[in-house]
Amino acid sequence: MLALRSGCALCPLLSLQARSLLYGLGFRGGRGRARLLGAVALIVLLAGMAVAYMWLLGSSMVAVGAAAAIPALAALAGSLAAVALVFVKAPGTVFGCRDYDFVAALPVSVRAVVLARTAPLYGFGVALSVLLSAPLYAAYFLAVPVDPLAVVAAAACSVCAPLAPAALATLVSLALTSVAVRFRHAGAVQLVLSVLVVTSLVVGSFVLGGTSSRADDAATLAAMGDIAGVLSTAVASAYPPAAWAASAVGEGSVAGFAAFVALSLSLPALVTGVLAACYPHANAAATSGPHRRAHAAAASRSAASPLRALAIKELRRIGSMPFYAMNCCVGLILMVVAAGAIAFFGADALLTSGIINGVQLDAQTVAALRGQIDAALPWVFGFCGAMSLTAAPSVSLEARASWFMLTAPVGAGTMLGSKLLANLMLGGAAIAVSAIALLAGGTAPFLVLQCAVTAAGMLTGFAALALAIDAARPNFAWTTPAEVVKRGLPMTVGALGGALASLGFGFLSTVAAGSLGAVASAAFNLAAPIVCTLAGLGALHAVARRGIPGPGWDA
Amino acid sequence: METPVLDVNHYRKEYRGKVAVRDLSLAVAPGEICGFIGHNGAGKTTLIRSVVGAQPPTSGTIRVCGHDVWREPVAAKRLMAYVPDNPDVYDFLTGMQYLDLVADVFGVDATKRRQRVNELTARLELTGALGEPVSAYSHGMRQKLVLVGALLHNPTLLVLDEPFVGLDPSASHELKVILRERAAAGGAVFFSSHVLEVVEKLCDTVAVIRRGELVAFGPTDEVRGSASLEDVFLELVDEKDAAAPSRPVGMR
Repeated sequence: MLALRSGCALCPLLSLQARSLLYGLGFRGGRGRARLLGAVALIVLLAGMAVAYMWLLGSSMVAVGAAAAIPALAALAGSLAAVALVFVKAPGTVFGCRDYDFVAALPVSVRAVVLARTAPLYGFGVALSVLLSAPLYAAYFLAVPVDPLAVVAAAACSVCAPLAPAALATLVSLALTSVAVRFRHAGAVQLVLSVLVVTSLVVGSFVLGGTSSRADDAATLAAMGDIAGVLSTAVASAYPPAAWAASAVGEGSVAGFAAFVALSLSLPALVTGVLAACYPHANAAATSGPHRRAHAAAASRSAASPLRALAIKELRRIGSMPFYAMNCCVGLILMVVAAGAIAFFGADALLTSGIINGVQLDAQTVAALRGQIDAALPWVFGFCGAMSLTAAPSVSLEARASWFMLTAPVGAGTMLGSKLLANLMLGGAAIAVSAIALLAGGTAPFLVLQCAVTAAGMLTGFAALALAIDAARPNFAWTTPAEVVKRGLPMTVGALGGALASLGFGFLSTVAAGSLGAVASAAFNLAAPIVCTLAGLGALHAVARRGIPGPGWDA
Repeated sequence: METPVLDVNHYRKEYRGKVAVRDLSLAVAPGEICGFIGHNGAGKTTLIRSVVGAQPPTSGTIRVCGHDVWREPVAAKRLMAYVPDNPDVYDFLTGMQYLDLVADVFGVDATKRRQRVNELTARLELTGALGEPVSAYSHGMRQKLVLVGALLHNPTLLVLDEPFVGLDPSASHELKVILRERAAAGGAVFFSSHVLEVVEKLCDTVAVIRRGELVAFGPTDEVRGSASLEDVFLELVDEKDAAAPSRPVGMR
């Protein structure tokens, strides 16, 4: 059979990717229109929120006289969005795909396959970059004299900004995945490696940015009156190409523009070429199993109760699926990091250390707001707890192995209980470490108790609620875990609901502290999470009584 | 009369108004091996999934040793084991971890499970692979692993969907021996297969399904008559044939 030319082959392969996306969103053969409309509505809502936030950020920068720093920030925002997107999506889309054997056997060039796999990621990256940078540029061009060439440069930079970072993120993601899959607990290893990479990037950027701005302390800054210069330098230190984009838009620099566009186009082309040259090896590296330790692990262990055995199985699933662990445990890591930071630096020092959305808190202000801060602090931990819902997609994740769950001689309560228990074991460990860190750092024990109760309550309540939703209508027909781990209704309702509830309860607690006093806010901080827990467990109990439906039950 | 191990009464299953299986009744007695045959899409897997509690019937009842699978699911499931047509098991577990999970869920104590695991994995030549993750297993190895898991608790009823697919000749032979042993020990085996020679030689009774209707059920010799099972099967499921007989051939 003749090999199809790359151009001819690309269209059907891209069409396959698009169909896969629609299938993943629930649009299947005319069914699920409501789900698709719901997904579109949610995307529009989130996009609207992002645009509003970026517009406010841009306007704030203009208001404090930092308009000149906006182009660099816009380039950085577009780049970071692409990095995050590609880092999460590349495994399973570009490499380690379930349909690799199928596409590898097609009579098309490897380059076309790689292009078809990477193009959607670049496309989403560009869309995200435009979404985030357009409001910033709008605020910028309303504040400075409009030059048509600058507008063209801004548009081009918006489109180009995510390309080079996305290309690099693809390679880094491939490297991390290739290392992680060689371990039995690949999920945990991938989580640790990703946290290390992100931490290194953030700390590196902070150090570079901090070094450049340290020279301009408050007095110098006041003397110079150049907030924009300081911010631009900080951003450029963190991500040098942002300075090229900024010079192209702000100063009309042709060299800066050429350098930025050249880098943005050449790096993806280079990475695509490299991936095409070694695609089979890259896939093999990203999908190879762990090192075999046959004799060490072949002995049967002692007997355990069904609940314990099933909970251990759930923990092993989390540990073995990097994507799952990354998405569902990040809140727990943030919780521990937040507790560590508060213990090490102190909450007051953290609050007075920088500018938050254009507002700088000083020591006097923090002291005056002590009651409100103590009232709100537990909800930081509640927020992190509600973001850590490993149980949310756990029924759907049974997928092709769901026959085991459906035919096992245990009730639905035990089955669902084991999934919630695994979630609580992870959450409990993180909460315990956080509480110890807070106590060691000198936080008042009663406040630590509120933090622990809030985190545990929000985690339990929203994990149980999300699990109930998943158990009531599991999606066993997913093609990639992302469909249920990231885009599934249980995760969306659980995490979004948990986040909004935490913010709302935090606000109410702060109001209570201001109007009724510390006792009232403490009582609220202890009662609200318990109510959430009872509500979530009630929903889960109701679903468990009906049983877990398997494939073909809705016939 | 002895209580059947498996008793299916007027089973009917519809998918979105389309009838997949209609008014099917059959019984498998202790000590019997029953083969379930039919063309692709005839309704074999549909019935089997209902028998093991993975999919509810639209109407009718299914009992295992007198326990209604849908009213007393836990009691019924404790007595049986299921080997699906596609042995998809948890990729993230090792073979041994999977067997430990099955043993814990079915309440097999540590001593008995060690003894059974050693015996069964040796017979199916899987011992050396138990420490490896299931993701590294071939289809046949997964099939063997699921078989070992299904036999760990000495089930009274063993339900298998296409159990011989993917097995090598020696494992296939060993499985036939194991099934005969289960029947000899007083258990019952109900399995679907497209390998008619195996069904003919192995099964005490055979059930033939066509387009969701049971067209023959009874002792293998009775259903087969003087012809081969293949000839009878082809005759029964021939699409050019007239409508299904009002009374299934060889119906007991």
